[in-house]
Amino acid sequence: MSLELPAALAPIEVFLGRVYSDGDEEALVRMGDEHDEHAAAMREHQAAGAAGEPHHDAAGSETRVLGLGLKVSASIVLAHKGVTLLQYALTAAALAETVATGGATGGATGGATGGATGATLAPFVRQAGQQALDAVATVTVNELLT
Amino acid sequence: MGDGLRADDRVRPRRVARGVATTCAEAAARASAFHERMAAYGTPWGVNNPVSRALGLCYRTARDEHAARHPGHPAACLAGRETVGRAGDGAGGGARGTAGGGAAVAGGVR
Repeated sequence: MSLELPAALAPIEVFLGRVYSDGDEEALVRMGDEHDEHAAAMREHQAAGAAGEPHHDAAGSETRVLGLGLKVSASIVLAHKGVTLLQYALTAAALAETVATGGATGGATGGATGGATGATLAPFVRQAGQQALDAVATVTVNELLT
Repeated sequence: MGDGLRADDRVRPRRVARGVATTCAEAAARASAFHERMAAYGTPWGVNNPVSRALGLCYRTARDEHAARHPGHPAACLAGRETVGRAGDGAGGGARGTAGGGAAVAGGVR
C-alpha cells in the first residue's frame, strides 16, 4: 500500500494549497518488475529463435533499464511524499506554536491576543511552507531533467 | 536428384521456418499483452505536482526512444517471416541463416 496523507494533516494541505502527491509508488515497483519479467520472457524467445547461436539482447537490456528507472521513480515519489508530509507537520507545529505563544502571555485577554497574533502570522507560516515545498519540487525537477 | 539435394535438405528449412514463425507469433502475443498491461497502469507516477509530471515525462521519453530503436511487431516480424519463407522455399543450406533471422525477429518484438 502506498503512503497516504494522514487525515489529521488534510487541513494543512488545504491551508498550504500544495497538494499531496497522487503518485503510487507500489504500482511503479510492480511496473518495474513487469519490465524485468518481460525482458526475461523475450530473451527466452530470442534464445529459441537463435537456436544456440550467440546473440546480443540489446532490446532486453534496455527494457530492464526502463524497469529500473520505474523503480527509481517509485523511490522519488516516496521521498517526495515524505518531504511533503514533513513540511505539513512542520507547518502544523508552527501554527500551533504561534497560537500557543500568544495565548501564554496571560489570562483570557492574552488568549484573545494570541488568537489575533496567530491570525496575523498565519499568512507568513503559509508562505514559508509553500516556499519550502516549492523549493523541493524545483530542485527535484531540475535534477530529473538535467 | 537433379540438384543434388536429399529430401532432408528441403524439409529441415521448412521445419525451422515454422518454428521461427511460431516463436515470432508467441513473442508478438506476449509483447502485445505486456503493452496492454502497462497501458492499464495509467500514470502511477502521478499528475498533480511538478515532480510527478517530470517523472512521467522522463518515462515517456525513454519508452518512446526504446520503441523507436526496436520497432518490433509487426514490421520486423513480417520481414522475418518473409526471410524465413524464402529460406524454407529454397533448397538446403538455409537453416543456419534462418535461425539467425529468427533471433532478429524475436528480438524485435518488444
